[in-house]
Formats: sequence, structure tokens, C-alpha cells
Amino acid sequence: MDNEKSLASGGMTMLILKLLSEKDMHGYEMIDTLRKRSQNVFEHKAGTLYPLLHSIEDENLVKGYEQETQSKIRKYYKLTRQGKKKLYKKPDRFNKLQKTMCEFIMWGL
Amino acid sequence: MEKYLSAVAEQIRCKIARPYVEKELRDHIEDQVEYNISKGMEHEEAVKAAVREMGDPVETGISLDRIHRPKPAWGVIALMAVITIAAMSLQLSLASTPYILRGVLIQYLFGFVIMLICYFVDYTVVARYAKHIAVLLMFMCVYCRLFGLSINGIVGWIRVFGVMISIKSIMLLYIPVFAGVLYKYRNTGIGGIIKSVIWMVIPSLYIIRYVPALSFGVIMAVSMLSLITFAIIKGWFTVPKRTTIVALWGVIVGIPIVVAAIRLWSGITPAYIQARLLYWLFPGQYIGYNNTTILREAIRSTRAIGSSEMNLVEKLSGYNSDYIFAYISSTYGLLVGILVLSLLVFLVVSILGISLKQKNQLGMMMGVGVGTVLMINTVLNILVAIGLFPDTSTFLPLFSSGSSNILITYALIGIILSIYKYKSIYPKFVDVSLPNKALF
Repeated sequence: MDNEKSLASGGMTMLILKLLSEKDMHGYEMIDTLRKRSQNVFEHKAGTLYPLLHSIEDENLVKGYEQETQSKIRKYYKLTRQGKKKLYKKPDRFNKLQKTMCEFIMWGL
Repeated sequence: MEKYLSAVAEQIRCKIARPYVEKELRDHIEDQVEYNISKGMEHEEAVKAAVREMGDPVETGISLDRIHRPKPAWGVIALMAVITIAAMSLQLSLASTPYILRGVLIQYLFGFVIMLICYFVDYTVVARYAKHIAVLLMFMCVYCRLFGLSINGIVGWIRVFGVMISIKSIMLLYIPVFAGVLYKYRNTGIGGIIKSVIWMVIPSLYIIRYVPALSFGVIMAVSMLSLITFAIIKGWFTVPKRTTIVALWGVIVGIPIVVAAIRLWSGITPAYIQARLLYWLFPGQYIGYNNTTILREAIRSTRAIGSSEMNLVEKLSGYNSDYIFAYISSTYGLLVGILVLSLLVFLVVSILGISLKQKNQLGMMMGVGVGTVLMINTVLNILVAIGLFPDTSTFLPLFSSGSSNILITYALIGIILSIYKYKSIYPKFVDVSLPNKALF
């Protein structure tokens, strides 16, 4: 169960890092982009994004800063060097996991 | 919407974090409401849908509570425990003056308590009253000169809760306070920099002229100048960065060097400073002030481990804990000296590391200030102790005896613990302005 949970949040972290590698965004913008790209298949509740964002900010993967847009000061997030490192390193681990799982299934057959 | 926000906030136990989290969630909901309205919904319906989209407030609140809670810097606390034990043991074994075990124990224990008290103080409160505290500290300097107590003929002490504290040590606290003053001038231009320089120059010059403590005043000035430079690099001031930094250092470092050179040339410089300088530059040619040569001799004769058989205390005509690094190295071997030094380097690196990673800019600046002043003191003290710098009064943080320096160093480390504690709580910028701005 724990593994499943961490993988899920790990996947979500990667998604956010990927989004921020394109441009700096605020929370709503992230949710909006994710929805549009997944053609509304993305079903995460918006509220759950913030604990995730704040925890990866704590880990120094992203950095928050305030900026005024449309006469409103919003908190934007920016990918840090550490975040970039994680983003470009992680796919290897995913590939490895994917490969192991495929091998496992093939072995069963 | 308010119901949702307060349900989330209720779960976050740290009250300071609540408004920042609430604001971000409110922004999100408002954006969603706007979008919903643009899709043809009525306002009320749009709000309801937006709140529904947010999910369970309790679940979100609990997750946020887990992140936004005070965090003790256990690493620094453990390191301080190790340093405390090492420093206490070395002081007890090295000091030739009639030291009482209880006295040293109480001094360090008291220091640890002060550190913990500072840990519980919110550093942003210090910044809020930065200018008031700075004025108070300067006033203490003047008070000390006029009515201060003297120890061994040196004026410059005041009694705080029954403990004699040197004004020099107290002024170390000016550095983090100065970071708070700088923060108040954020987003200003050259005017803000000039005002910051005034807050820097007045106490430094006063210390140099009237305490009088030349090296200490210079350490203070260099530390504060580094902070102003760092603030310029971080974009706190709306000025061209490179030009301003070059001009700032050119004027503030250049003028004193020229003045010092003229004074030295025309013979106004006190004789003892001239002697120290000459002896440092041309060892062997001048006799009289010879601590530098003895220290050089001592460091040359150290062994890797074990005593060098040189009675340094006797040679230096008395125990002076400024040279504690030389005593440690010549009594227990260079490796023990290096070990002590490594502990301090590790401490300074940890302080700077914690500070630079700090999201809150005020905490970062205060932490960098503390790290810088401890670093400069340590480096200068070691250079003096191995004879590479003219003999001048410095202290090895936490290792040199003297309750004032020890207690104030603990207080400075306490400020670092306070900064770390709030690292997941305060955002990048906090408002430290006072409601009544009439005074400053």
C-alpha cells in the first residue's frame, strides 16, 4: 500500500516538475494545464496539489516567488537546479521498474 | 469558500503559517470561480463548483500541517553538544589560571540555555524592531564608555543578570540586527544603501575609536559590508549591481586604507600598533613585541600528536585564550588542533548552508550575517595564533574562554536555530513593518 502511495505521489511530483520545466506557473495554472492536456481525464482534486507543491518546495525541488499578474499577487513556482536533476534522472528508475514488471509478467506466462 | 478555507486552516497547528496557505488557496478558488463564470455559471454556482473541485479540506489541511510545522535543527544542536563538550574539556585542561570546574560548567550550561531561549524567539520579531534594537545596542556602547565597569583595568563591561558581559561581545548581536535593518530598506534605491552604510559605519567607527577595539570594529564593518553586498546581489536594492558593489567597496575599504597609510607614514599610529606591524612584517629585525614570533615558533615545533614540550604559556608570559589554537596544538598535537578547527568549520558551513537554503529572505540574510561574523573571527583568530597575522585581540568562537564571547556565540547560534525552525512556515518575504512609523 505504501509503495503504491509513494509511486502515485512520486508520479505526481514528476508531472509537476515536468510542467515547471516548461515555464514558471502558479497552482491554478498547473491544474488548468494538466486538465487541458489530459482532456479532463486528470481527476486529482485541486486541493491536494498544494501539500505536494509545498513539500517539494521544502525539498528545494521548486522555489516559490510572488509576482503580480492581472493586478493580483500570485505565488509562482520555479524549477530549481535540484528539481531539474531529479526530473532528468527519474525516468531511468521508471524505465527500470517498467522493465522489471514486464519481465515478471512474461515469466508468469 | 470561507468555510472551506477555515476548515483547511484549522488543521494547520502552526498559526503563523495559516494566512500564507489561506491566501494561496483563496487565489486558486477565485481563479476557478472566474473560469466557471466564463463558462456560463451563476456566481453562487461557480463558487460551489470551485470549492467542490478543491476536494476534502480536512485531508488537505492535515497534509499541509505535516509540512508547515516548526522544525528543530537537530544536526546543529548535536554539533553544538559535541563542540560544547570538546570546548569545556579543553578549557579545563589548558587554563593555567585557577579555573573552577563548576564555573566553566555553569558558563557553558548557561550558554546552551540562552541558545534554546533564542530558538524560541521568532526572528522576524527581531527584524520588526531592528532599528530600535540597533539604537539600543549603540546606546549601550556609549553607556559602557561613560559608566561601564572595568576588569583588569579595561573598561567596557556591563553587568547583565549578575554576569559581567563585554560590550564587544554584545555588539556581535548587532550583525543579525543589521540584517533586519537592511531588510527594511529592501526595494529602495541608492538612498537605502547610503542609509544602510550609515547604520554600518556609526557603530563600527565608535567601536574602533572609543571602545577601543580596532580589529573587532573592522570585523564588524567587513561583516556588515558583506551583507550589504549580498543584499545587492540578491536584488534587494534597485541599483546597477556591479557598479554599486565596486563603488561601495572602493569607498569603504579604500578610504580607511589611505587614512591608515597616512597615519602610519606621519607617525600618528600608536607605537604598539606600529611595533606589532613591523614585527609581523620583519621578524628578527625588531625586538620588543614578540608574540608573533613565539607563536610561529610554537606552530613550527608542534607534533602531529602529543605535546611539543614547549611551555607556551610561560613563553607568552601568561595564559591568553586568544591563542587557544596554539595551546591546543602545542599541548595535544596539531591533529587535535585541526580537529577543533574542523568542528568550527563544520559549524560555520552548516550555518551558511542552512541560511542560503532558506526560502525566507530575511532569515537568509540574518543567518548569513551570523555565519560571516563567526567565520571572519575564526579565520583571523587562527591566523593570529599561527603568526600569519599581526597580533590582535580576537577569539576562537566557543573555545576561547571568556563568558561574554561564549554566551553571545550561543545566542547567535540560537538565532540560526530560530531561522531553521520557521523554514517551512514563512514565505519568501514577510512584512516586518511597524504600524507606527513615526519614530524611524
